[in-house]
Amino acid sequence: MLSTIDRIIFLKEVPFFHGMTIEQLKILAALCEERLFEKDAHIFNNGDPGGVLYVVVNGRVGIEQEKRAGSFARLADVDAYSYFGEANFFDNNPHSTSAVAVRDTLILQLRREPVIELARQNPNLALELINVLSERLRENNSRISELTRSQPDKLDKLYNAFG
Amino acid sequence: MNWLNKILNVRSNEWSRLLFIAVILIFSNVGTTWAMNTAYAAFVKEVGAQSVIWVQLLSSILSILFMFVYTAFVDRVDNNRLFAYIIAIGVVIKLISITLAGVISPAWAFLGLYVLSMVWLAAWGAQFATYVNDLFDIQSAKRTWPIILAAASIGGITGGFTLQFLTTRLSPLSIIWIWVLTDVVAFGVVWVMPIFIKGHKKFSKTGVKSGKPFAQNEETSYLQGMKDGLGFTLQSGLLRWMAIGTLILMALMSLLEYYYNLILAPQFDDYAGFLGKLEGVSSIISLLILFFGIGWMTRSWGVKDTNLVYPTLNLLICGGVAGFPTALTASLAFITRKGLRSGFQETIDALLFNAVPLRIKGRARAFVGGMITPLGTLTGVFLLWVLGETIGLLRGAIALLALIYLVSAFVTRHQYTQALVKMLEEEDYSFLLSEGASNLSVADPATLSRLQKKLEESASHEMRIFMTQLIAQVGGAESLSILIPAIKAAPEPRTRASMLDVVSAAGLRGGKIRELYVDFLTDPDAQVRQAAASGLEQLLGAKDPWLQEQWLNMVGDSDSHISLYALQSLAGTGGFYKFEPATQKLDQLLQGDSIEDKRNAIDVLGMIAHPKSIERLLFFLEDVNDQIRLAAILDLEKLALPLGSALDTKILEKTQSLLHDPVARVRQAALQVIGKFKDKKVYPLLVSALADKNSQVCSTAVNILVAIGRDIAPMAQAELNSTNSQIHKMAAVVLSRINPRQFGSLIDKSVSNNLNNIYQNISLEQALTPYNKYYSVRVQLAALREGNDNLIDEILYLLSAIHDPQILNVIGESLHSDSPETRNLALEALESLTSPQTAALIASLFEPSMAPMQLLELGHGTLNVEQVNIVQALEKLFSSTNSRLFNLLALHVVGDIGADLPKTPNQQGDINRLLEALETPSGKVDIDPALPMEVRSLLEKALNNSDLLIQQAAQAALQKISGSRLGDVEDVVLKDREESKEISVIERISILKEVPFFRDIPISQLENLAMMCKEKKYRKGTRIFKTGDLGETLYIVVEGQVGIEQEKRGGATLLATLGNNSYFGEMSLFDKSPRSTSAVVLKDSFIMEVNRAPIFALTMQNPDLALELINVLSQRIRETSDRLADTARSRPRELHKLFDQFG
Repeated sequence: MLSTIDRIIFLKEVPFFHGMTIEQLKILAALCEERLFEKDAHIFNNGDPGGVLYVVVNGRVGIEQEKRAGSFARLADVDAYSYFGEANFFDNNPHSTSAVAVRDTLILQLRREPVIELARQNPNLALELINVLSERLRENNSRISELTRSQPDKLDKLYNAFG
Repeated sequence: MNWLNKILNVRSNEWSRLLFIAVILIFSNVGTTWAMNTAYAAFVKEVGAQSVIWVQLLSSILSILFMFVYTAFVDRVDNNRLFAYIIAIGVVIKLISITLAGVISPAWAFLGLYVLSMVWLAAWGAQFATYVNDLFDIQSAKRTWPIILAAASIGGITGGFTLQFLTTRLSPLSIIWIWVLTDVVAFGVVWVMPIFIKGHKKFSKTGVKSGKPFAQNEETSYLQGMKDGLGFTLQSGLLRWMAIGTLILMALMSLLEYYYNLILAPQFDDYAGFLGKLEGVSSIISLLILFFGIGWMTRSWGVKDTNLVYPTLNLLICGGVAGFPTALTASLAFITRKGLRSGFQETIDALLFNAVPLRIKGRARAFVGGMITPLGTLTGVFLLWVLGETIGLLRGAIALLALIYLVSAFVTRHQYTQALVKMLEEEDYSFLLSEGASNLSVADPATLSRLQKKLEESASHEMRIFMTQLIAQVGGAESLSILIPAIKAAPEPRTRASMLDVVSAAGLRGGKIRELYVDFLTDPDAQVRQAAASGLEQLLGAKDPWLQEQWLNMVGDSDSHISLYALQSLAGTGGFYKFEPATQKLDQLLQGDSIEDKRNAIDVLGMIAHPKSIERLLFFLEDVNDQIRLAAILDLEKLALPLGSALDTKILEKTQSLLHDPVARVRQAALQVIGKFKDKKVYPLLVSALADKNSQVCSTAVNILVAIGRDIAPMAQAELNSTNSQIHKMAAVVLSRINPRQFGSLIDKSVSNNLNNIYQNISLEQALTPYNKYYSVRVQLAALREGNDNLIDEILYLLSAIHDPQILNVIGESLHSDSPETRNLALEALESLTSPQTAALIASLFEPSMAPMQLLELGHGTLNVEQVNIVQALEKLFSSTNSRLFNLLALHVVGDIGADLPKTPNQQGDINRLLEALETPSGKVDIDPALPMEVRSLLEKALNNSDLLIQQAAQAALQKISGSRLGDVEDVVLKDREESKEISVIERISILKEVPFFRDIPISQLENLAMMCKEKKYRKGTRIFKTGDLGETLYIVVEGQVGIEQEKRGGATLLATLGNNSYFGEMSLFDKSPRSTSAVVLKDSFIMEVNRAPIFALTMQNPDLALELINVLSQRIRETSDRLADTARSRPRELHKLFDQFG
């Protein structure tokens, strides 16, 4: 069990919360919930509702998508001090992927409502969140362009899709 | 009360629950101590010590059976209810025994009662823990658990020492009756508890888990759990020895119980009274051990050595009673069995289990507790059966078992160290995060040195912080000798800073740590200096004069963060204005040019909370910069107002002017400030805020008014006649929340009004849909839909004034659900709150299978809403008083579809006359007489409107109508654009709405965005931007053609050609990275530009826009992630696992 102070210190190190003040982190730290997932436990499944941000305290989580029955694509590995679920965090959209604990993993999870409330009260924080998400989007975009570098004809199609 | 809170570490809001629990515990424990000892003494006296064998045999068999039954119920029934039922079962058991006592010999009836009650108490205890955890979150449970334990002990002690007083006056049967009474009281308290405790956490109904978004581990059955537990125990050395130790101890305890009864029972006439006293002494001893002994011992000797204390004491006592059987040694034997064991061994066992990996801990503990413990007792029973007759053998067995137990404890001690080391080697630190009610940590030298090694080896910043956190948490004062050199050795400044933060958060004290902080006050890195300073503050407290001196030095620090930190700290001391350099620095910041500095300095003003600083704050309320005003009013909002001085009037006066500030958050804060002055003078201001367009501000006003209560009612009632529908509705909300009985019906009226509007909007939608090829119609349709969404949200808000808001929240969410069952449940819930008609009207709006025509029929049937034709629709849209934007929009729609409208016969338009009109210099066009009468009068009204924008829009509409009659609309539009560089806001909205990026942003928000856009004409061949440019603009091609090129060494490849209504470069809005392509104009083009800076400035004023943008970004991240997922290789999960092992 981490104390509130421990959580604040921990969250301060997580990129998603960089823009928040200690006061704001204190609110969130008191609200987030600690959960231990045993190795191979599913944290969420494809189709589960979003609206929760997961921060890995220790352990490792694999983000997977089932392509064919029994065959999975590993989209990302999430380690300590990183987070996942942010794409479905703000609008409750159902997940299109599953998250599986690769090792025994301790996670802090945070529901969207308090974060939205904080963002409403603090316009600066909302901007900060936009920056965080833009960063993630840019990462995705650059990964896509990296993947398609060798295939110029695909780039055209992608460009049309993303602008 | 405050000092009490501090001493006991309890929050004020926890007291009511805590007292309830204490009442239950004290009552139950007093009753239990009285009756159990009375019953026990009665049958031991009557039947003899051999009855103990029966008790042990029956109770251990029953307890195994009982666990089956209990685990079957525990997750299916509401925890609160289950606890009440268990208490009720206890009452039944007692009543049966009392009846039996009349039929068979009372001694045997008491024996039965005792055995059943033993099992019952096990259930009681298990459920009580769940019950308490339900009432408190884990953090507060951890803090309150010691108090709860103390209450239990107080019950035991009181019961024990008063028992003799009772037995001399009452018969055993009467004491059982008293026990029944205490249960009835406890039952009553548990039953009414949820009613009395307001705002308590909802009792969890584990049975109803629907919609819980978290993956639940599968609940394993009891048998499976036992099987797993056995497996783990056989595999792990530590668990094996702990199980053996438990087995021996339990066998020993059952021999001991028989033996001391054999000695003590004949010596005392009032055996029950004597047992009561022993029980009391036991409780005191265990309380002392729990509160003072154990913590001290584990801290100074470590867990593994503390583990030897009880076995050693036990051996001494057992040896004593075996060698010299007297009343004294037998009483000591009683105490070792009860008080010492519960004080020492149960706590230590819990700590020993920490060296078991977290995922198997639960099952392993359940196995040892639920299976090994009764087995041990059965072993004891078997031994008694063999040896019982020969006292000499029995005495030998007791001494021998106690000796073996001590030996097993030595083995366990060794195994424990090994298990810990193994876990650390596997990097499984989960055991260090001590859980639940235990405040004790594992401070073993072995663990610490292992952790120290890990810390020294860790290469990454994160790993170092993590290890520091663990060491500080586990090691207490010991950890300093490890951490201080580690912090000094950390190469990166941010690592040093974070490590210092961790150390100060751990609350470590002492001279060494002060030296450490002082050392780092001169660190070259500012972050580290700040961390050291805040560590010192934590250590010494803000009142320390030496520390204040340090802060004063830091005011002049080269780093602005540090000097700000120093200012803030000094502001908190209460004597800011004594510090001359600080005052100067603050002035310098407040008068400087940097917005950031100014904002921070204003926050410092707010912290000083001195009349002088508040006066200065007021000055900044008039600043032109949004951020400065916002900062100033937010600081004012935090102050405790009214001040009770002359300043109050000034505050009120200045704040009032902010009620119409463009920034929503400023208005909201201003309202909060004004609301704090509970003064009749400010009521009208608060009431008028009900009209605020921003829903947050509006609901703030509602809350403040409701808090004022009845005083405001007459004024709110007057507003019920307001022509402004929002004021009317919100006044109804305020009134019905103040007095639901009198004003509840107002809500029903408002709800049906809203429904009426919704269905009218649907009929408008129906009329407009055939024309949706026009952009303006599409915008109009979107606006209607968004308007309806808002009306629905408002209905839920209105209903929450007279019903539980939480329920309405759930209903709202369920209505949006994809599953028809969930929607049906929501419909039923709505029906119970409103009427079947209203509920059906609301729920149908969410029904995807409902065609618009069906909805209209429903609206017609229930609300008498008529389907309108297009002409009536246009009239309605134009006459709606909602906002100017919508009036303008209606005129645009008229312009677009005017030519398609049915023509009035005999009044064919004169084309020549129109052509002429187009060429007149004023550009004014007369109203086409061929238009339907209603539309003509609408246009006429618009032309005569006092609002210039509306006049212009009407003119534009007329031009468009005549233009399209000529079949030359393109020309007219282009000509229009040649002349004026700007296009109308409506058109911009429609253009933005076509861009997927902005599609989901409501029109009300897009309006703000649209005002920030600019249009530009680009000539063919112009390069809009080239690769590597730093862009912050999104471009939308209104008309024309643009090529996107990728530059290569030889030249450029055309990647895409973008025509009308396409857009490019939208990532630049959020991201300042350089462009990866270039854009060239292929045909003369008219392009709309959306810039980053003004949009972001706008989000400051309007957080809802920011949230919309966040949603848009989330959507984009999902799309790109899906795209990435498409490119990822898939393989069977087993392969992934293999990679995980090596990767």
